[in-house]
Amino acid sequence: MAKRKRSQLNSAATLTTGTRQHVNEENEFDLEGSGHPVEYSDGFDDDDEGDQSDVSKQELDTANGLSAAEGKMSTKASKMKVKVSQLADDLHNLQEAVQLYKSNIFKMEIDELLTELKIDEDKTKPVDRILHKLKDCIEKIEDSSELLLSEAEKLISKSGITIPFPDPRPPKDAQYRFKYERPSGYNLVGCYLLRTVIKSPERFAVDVVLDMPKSIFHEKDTLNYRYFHKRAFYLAYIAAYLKSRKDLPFDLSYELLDGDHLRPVLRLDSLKDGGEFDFHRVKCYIRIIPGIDQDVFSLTKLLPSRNSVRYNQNPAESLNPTPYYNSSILNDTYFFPSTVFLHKAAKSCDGFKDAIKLGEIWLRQRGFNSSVDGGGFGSWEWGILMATLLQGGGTRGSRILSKGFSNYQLFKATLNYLVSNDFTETTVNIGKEPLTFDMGVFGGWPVLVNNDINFNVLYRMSVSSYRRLRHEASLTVTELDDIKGDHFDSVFLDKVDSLIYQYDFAALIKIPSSRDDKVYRDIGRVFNPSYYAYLASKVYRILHRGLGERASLISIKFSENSKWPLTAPRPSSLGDGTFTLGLVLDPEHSERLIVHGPSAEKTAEAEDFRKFWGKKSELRRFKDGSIIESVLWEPHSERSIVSQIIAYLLQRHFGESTAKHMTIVGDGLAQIFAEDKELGDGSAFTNFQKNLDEFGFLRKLLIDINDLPLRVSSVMPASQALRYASIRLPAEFSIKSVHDFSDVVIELETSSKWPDDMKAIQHSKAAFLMAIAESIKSIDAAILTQIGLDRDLATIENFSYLDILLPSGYAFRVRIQTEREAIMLRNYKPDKDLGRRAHRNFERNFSLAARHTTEFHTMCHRFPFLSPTVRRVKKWFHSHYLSPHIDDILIELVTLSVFLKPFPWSAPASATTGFLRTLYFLAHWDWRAEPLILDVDNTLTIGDIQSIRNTFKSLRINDPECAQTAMFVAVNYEQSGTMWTSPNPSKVIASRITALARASCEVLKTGNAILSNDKSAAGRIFVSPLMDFDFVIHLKTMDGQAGRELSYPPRMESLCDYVGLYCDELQTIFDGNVLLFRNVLKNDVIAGVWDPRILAARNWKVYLGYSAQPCSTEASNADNNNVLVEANIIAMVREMARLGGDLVSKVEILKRVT
Amino acid sequence: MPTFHSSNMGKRMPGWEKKNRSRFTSNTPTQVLNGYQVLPIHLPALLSTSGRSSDSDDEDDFEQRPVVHYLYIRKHETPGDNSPSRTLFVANLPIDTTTLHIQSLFSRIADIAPSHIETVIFLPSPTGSSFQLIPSLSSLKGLQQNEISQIRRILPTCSAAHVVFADIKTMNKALDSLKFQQATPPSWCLYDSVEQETEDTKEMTGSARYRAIHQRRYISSSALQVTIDNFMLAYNKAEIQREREAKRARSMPDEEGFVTVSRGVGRTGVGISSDAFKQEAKKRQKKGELKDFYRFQIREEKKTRMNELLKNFKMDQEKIRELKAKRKFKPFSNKLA
Repeated sequence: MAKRKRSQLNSAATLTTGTRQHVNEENEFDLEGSGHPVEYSDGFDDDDEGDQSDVSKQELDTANGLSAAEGKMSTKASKMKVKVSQLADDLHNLQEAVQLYKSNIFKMEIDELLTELKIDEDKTKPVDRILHKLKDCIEKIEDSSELLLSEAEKLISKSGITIPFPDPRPPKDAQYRFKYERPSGYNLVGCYLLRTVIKSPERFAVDVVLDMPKSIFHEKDTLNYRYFHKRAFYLAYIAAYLKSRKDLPFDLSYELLDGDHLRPVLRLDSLKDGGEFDFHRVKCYIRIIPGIDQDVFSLTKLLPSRNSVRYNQNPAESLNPTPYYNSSILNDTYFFPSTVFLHKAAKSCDGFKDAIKLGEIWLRQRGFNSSVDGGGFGSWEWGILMATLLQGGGTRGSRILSKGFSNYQLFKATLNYLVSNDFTETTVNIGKEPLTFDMGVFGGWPVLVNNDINFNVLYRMSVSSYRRLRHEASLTVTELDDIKGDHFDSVFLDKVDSLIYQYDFAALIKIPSSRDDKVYRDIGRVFNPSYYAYLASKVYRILHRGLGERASLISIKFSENSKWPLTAPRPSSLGDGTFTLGLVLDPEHSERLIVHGPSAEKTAEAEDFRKFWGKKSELRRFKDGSIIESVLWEPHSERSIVSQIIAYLLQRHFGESTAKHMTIVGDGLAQIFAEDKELGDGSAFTNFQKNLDEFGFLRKLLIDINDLPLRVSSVMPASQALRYASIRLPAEFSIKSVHDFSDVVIELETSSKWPDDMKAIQHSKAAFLMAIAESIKSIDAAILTQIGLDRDLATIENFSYLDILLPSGYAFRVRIQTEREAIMLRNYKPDKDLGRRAHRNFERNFSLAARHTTEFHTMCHRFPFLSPTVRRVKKWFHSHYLSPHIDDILIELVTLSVFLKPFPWSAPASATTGFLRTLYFLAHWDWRAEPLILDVDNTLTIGDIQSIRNTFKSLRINDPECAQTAMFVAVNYEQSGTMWTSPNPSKVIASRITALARASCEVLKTGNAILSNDKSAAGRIFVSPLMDFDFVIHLKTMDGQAGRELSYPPRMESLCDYVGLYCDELQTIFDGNVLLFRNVLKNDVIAGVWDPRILAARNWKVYLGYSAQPCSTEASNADNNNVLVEANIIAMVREMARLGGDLVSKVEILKRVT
Repeated sequence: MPTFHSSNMGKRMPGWEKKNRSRFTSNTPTQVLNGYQVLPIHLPALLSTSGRSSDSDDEDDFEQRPVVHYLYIRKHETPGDNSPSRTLFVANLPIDTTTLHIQSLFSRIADIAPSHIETVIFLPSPTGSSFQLIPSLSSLKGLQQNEISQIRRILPTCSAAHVVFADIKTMNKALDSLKFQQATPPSWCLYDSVEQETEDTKEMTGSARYRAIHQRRYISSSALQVTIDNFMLAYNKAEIQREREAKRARSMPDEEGFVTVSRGVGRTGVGISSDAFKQEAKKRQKKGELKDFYRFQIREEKKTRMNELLKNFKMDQEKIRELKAKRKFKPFSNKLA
């Protein structure tokens, strides 16, 4: 490669079809004027003649808009439709698709995606024309004479522009001379040439490299930025010329090449003048990049271990190597060779180009690109990595990727490789004569080199961005390995890079000015020319050390990509002055209170520890007798330990103002939660634990009762307060209403003596409960019991329960379930429909409630932040008056889904993030088309999932309007999917949930509410506008509700849930006409919405189903027979208010008053 | 119960007043809809006016607004029965209607004494359901005197009733009174002298009502014990009776001298022999057959597998088409993130 020489640009006369230049004696490089921008001819590779036909065939296919692989597939697919005789063949093909891809549908999805990403090549024609014109122009530029710095600046400033010298500028007394000579090469390189550009809202770059001739450089120019200074002059000279050409109307500006501060480039944007050179429709811009040939400088001087910047005047001190600087120069020599390298790989491997596109879309969704501020890993680095792995990379030089891989296989294997290999420890170094590096010189930075690309391709990556890349890769690999789910969306389509949803802790940090940072100005910039990148890695180092295993990912991002006009000097800062800090936390460790340091005996380490932590560090003696340096943190209701540590470290290492100007994402929201007394603080878990302990006591008590005809065989929790999920914390003596009793289901020994009649069974159960109450009374008189009735005794359903109030102040409500009941209800002969309904209620309130409680309890232990999250989500639901319409279990399952299926992120490790992700999920869940399937213990088989999907499908086929079931949520122990979602929430309510979640997400994002400490902004997501309702009944605060503290033991009547009973009764009376909304936490209003169907005028009939009045518009109509009626909504609201009596304080009719 | 002052109302609601006056002037015939006389009545607010100024200027104040409810009344005739009817059919009753309300209404509009209304039969509504969550007094036995609190029955919206008059004359009088509109619609309330408190007449709303329901759910255990004992006793009796019947049926030959063979009183059915056969067959199949033994088996399995694959392929294609229609494959279109 290095030997390959490119001749001078040929004269325009030879360019009948476009630019043509000799790459090698036999290799031709063809830039066609029509069709494709650039076509490599076959001789370009070392392949033999036989390959030629293959290549042309491929090109033919490509011309048809299909890659070779796609071509085969789609022809097969169409044949299948026509000819049945070729079925076997096709099926074989299909099977192959299943093997080469994750699944058949995955392959089709990828195909669709690739079609979507395809750039219309007809539209890029104007660019090709412009490139030719540019080339002609640049050839006409006159050489300059050799100029000193002052002369050079004077010459350039004549055109009114500046030279974009990197920082530091050349010294005033610089003795070297600047010169412009005609470029020795004019090459189109990069993704546009390779046709791996993807369609996106952003403009893509068309890269043109001008090779600066060797004659203008001196061999020592690699030292002390001299190369970069000369390069900057060269660029400015071209810019000055292009600016003077009035016949080339472009918007010219300077820009950094991939955020590399040492290497500015000239950027050409199209003017929207509709003229000959208007290419703004192509969604691209042109970059003119000065490069050099590989023989200009000696390669050995630029090895990573060499120093090229004499930053220290004292020759006695040794100088550290400057790998970034060296790689930066080397990168300028590799534009064309790397493009050739990628092209070779693409030619040998059919799926290569598409795999680059897949990689690019994957990277882009995760906020990566080649630029320094984009993490330094983009499609180019991805491509080089893949091409490298096609050559080797495995143990003993074996190839990781095979040429026969499909695009998906290439994509996945590359990700796999990223996950399983740490580039900071071992170099990816492939080739016949591998270069040896001492990894030490890179200081823990990732390295990727190969025989063809002889410099560190990843030199723009930081340690932080490299860790982030591997983090994302490992998440995606987990997804792709999961054969049960599709995951296509979260791998390719979802925007992963999101400050709000991605991290468990996220903050904006103001960057202190670079002028104050002396270390950076003296030495830092030698190793990391971008001040932002320099500071980001410093922040990373400090936080990485300070947080330790609390954080599994520390991401620090900044943006520094602005262009600047030719006329202006280079701005001191190209970014917006903020870092975004994002942490993925380890829930096991994140809230630990102590940071353990070294033992006091290890003086040096202890000193270092003290220096790092400052006065926070103290010597402590621990239980095991060790005396070690340590830091202790106090739990705080609003500030997590992690956020305290970060604030402290920023203040200590970056100054007071930096710490003060940190904006924590979701801070306002966290404050709202912290101030909510019912949600409680971090001690919530212990509160629930207390309730569970008391439940354990009750269980023992019940099982030990021995004077019953049948003994109690099992006692099962069936309440949200017994699965860490109730909003209100269970606490001693806090029983305020009937809803504060924790439900418990008990089973008795099996017996054949149960009666044969449903009603008789229910009566016997009540008798048992009374016997239990008697026994308890005889065991401990301090335990209070009270039998209660749920419903009328004449029904076949359970009507009795036993309230038990323990002396500790915890209360339980016990119901009995019997096996016999379940069987008899299912086959209830007298009324099958009634039986089915009753059986469903039985499952819901007894067996499944108990099962769910046990499972959810386990989940709360597996995910420490599930419990606080679900309680916050419930608060959101109730605040929007959805309490009567949504089952608590449904909220719990939806929240659980965010933890079980967090993709593309990892499971939330903070309550606020969990809450936001749940809202995000609700806002995006297309419940009309997608069932929610939860696998709590990974026991569902593919068959199970398929059968659940089939259930859902047939449900939708039978009921396409979702009248019966809107949301469908299936879980291991409830595979019918409708137990908690049908009939409530109805379609109307489900749509409202989606709309409310969307509005909440929107408020948080656009109103910047998520980024402010102001809790009133974030509080808006908990305010449901009453104007959405047709009428609102305002309620008075009753005794026994939130108002008054109660005596203990509470009198039964003071526990009355007035509003609940009132609302239930209203819903029964006006069933089908109105939807009632209320917030059980506040009981301040009952709001209602009429069924729009009853508002229309229609003919009168006796049982219309709602109170009706004659239409007033028809009143004057003489023909009375034609009088229509409409709903008398005012009278109905009046009826409601009359029933409410003294519970009601005010009634408002907000809409549709006729 | 606060009574309704129509004069006040009229002033506050000019729009209503205008509309209503044109409709409610005297001597104009009432509206007739499909043979039903339309009778407008005023539904007064039950709210106590304390805490708000009675002469509030707020015209949108719902509590102060006169609200008109419409009853639809006609003579009740049973098809096929030619005997003259003395029953009126009243539809679209307010939800709190009781017999006393009906009696008061007719005494007000037609001056019919309560005693002239023989009975009011509330008809079960085919659409609405009644509030089942209250244990009914009738199903509970052995209640103490202080536990027997009356809870008024509330009708589902749009209920109807048969009002049976003492004689045809009275009924006609009532019907005649409906033919012409009242100067002001009669107010929906009870007349003053309500003496006896029953489940039907108890004027109970709001917190009192729901406290009573709450108390009904927490009856004393002694009362519940009596209730359960009563039920079980009756149940056992019936059970023994049924058993005896069944026994007799087993031993008694019918008219033709045959004895019907029936199952005993055992509660769980005997195993069904056909089930056993099925299981046996299954077992045999499992043991005996080799799956990939014959060529036809392999061929057939291959065929089913292919069909399966093809089916899945078609399904997948369908799904992709759907997703495409929803513009799913746009990777840069997420607005919320």
